[in-house]
Amino acid sequence: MIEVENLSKRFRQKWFKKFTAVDGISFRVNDGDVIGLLGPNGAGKTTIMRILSTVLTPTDGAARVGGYDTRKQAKQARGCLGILPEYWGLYERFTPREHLRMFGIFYGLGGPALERRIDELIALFEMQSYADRECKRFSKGMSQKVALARTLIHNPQHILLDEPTSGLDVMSARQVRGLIADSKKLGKCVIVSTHILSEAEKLCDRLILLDAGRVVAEGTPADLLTRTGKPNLEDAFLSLLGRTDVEVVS
Amino acid sequence: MKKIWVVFIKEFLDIVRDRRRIILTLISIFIGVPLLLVLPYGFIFGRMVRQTSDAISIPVQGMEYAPALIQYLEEEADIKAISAQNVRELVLNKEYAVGLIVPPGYEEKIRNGQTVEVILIADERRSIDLTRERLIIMLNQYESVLLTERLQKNGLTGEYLEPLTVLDENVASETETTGSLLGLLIPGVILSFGLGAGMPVAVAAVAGEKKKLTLEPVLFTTISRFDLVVAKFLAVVANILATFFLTMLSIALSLGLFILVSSRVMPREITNAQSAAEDAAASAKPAMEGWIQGYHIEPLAIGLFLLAPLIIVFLSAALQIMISSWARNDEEANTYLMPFNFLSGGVFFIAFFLDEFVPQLWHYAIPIFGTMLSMRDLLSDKIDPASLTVMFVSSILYAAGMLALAVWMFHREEVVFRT
Repeated sequence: MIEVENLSKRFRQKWFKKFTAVDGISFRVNDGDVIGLLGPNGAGKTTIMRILSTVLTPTDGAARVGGYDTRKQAKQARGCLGILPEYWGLYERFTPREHLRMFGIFYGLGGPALERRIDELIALFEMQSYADRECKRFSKGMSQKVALARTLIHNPQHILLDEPTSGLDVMSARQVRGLIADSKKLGKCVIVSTHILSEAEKLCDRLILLDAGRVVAEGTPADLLTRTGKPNLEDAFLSLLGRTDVEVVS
Repeated sequence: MKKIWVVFIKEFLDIVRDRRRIILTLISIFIGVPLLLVLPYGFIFGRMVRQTSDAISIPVQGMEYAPALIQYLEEEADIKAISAQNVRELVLNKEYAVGLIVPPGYEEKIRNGQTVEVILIADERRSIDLTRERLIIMLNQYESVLLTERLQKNGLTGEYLEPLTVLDENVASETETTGSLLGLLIPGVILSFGLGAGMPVAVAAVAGEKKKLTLEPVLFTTISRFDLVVAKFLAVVANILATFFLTMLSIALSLGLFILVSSRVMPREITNAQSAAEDAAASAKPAMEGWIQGYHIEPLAIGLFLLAPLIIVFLSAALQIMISSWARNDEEANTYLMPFNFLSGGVFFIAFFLDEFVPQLWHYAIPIFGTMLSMRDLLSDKIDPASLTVMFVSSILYAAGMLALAVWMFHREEVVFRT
């Protein structure tokens, strides 16, 4: 379970100015739930992800991952969390297998168990043909698979996915969606940050709509449609953000 | 410990697999260094050998006035004299390296026991030219021949003209003298290397990872920031040491090659040599041999000498990691680290100003400078426990402090996420 209580994050800027990226946000994600964090650029999605991953410390409030406080028990929280950042951050001179081995060791795994897990993930993501090739010239889909496998190397109970299907072809995106659905079935706690509303509608049990660091709306996709009276999630999204003036450019 | 090792190996493999960097480094070390060392010195050395041993031609104005002198130069020094009208112009136009002007009435004045002024024309813009020295020494020798003849005519010996002899005594031991000479170059080279090398790895390992966004996924894992910084720091240290040893190997190979080639070339050239410059070189040889043969330092001094710069390598690596952590990306890190290049270059020249400097104990606590003082002392086999303790303890404290600062920087989110 992931719990976020009254979470705020302010960043110092030049000349003693402060910028509030997250402003008093609270939500809870139970095991077996998939929730979607939606919002325009700068809404605070990535900051929340970073606080949950313990690399940023909240200014106020608290976040707990699997019962571990991200501030006081950061290492334990990280140990039960798998994070896929928006930019995969692969070492281009290392192979997928080496990535998985290195990150496995970082999570405290080792020996034959780690090698078995690596083989399992290579098979799961169908990476056999390039598992021992340097990542230098990988396509987006190949890179995304390596990054996803790296996220899951320690079989985490909690998974944070930042734009997991961004830039992927239809096949790869479908595979990622399948993985999220499987994680839900396995009782894992998943948070997906995405811009793709149709995907959020299909995958997520609940959606949290953020704007300027605050929660604008929260509920199931059906709830949001009913509340706004709009026919689709895109219109509902714009309506909730108060930006109905955005027109389609043709 | 295993996590530190894994990050260290990752950094190592990242360097080794960067083929372009490896090829360029190996070219610089194993081709650039020999070219820089052997080519210019080989060129200078070869030129000096030719100038001192080959037959040379010189233009002589008024050659007809001094047949005996010309005969002496041709027979004793393999110097062929060519009669010329305007020697100054010939030398100025670089047609000849040196020339001679013999005044009219030369022979008569010599016969009468008078002084004759022979003018030696040279162009001192020629920086490496032993022809002038060769001719001067031959003329001096000829002067000695004439002088002996004159003294003999008057029933006198050479001692008559030498009422005073000066004996040179050196208060420093041979080890101290040689150590002082070595201290001019070796500590500067080692320390400037220790400060300057390793920068590309420090930049790539932290600022480069920030730019490529590969650092954040590592921070998501359970590896501690301390382990991460220590591993990257050790990778920089290892890179400095590896580059240093490869460069030293290259220098040793280059010098070996240079000596081998010189020893093959030299005997053939020297057998023909009759120049006086050789005599000068031969007289300098025992002194050089004395320096080398009389030079002796204790194994403890050698050990301490090797250990001293190692701590500066630690200090430098920690400082580079810290600066690289602060930078937003690799370009910024390179800019911040630019003063290091000046510092490493500047260190090389410090030794040249230390000749008259009498260090106090506290000087040994000044980072880098104190190490240089100690290295100079150790090269002269001076093992002073007090100054060495001050230098080692202070250097270790500086290095540890810098590493602690680098770790602290890595914990600051506004530093880690400055992209």
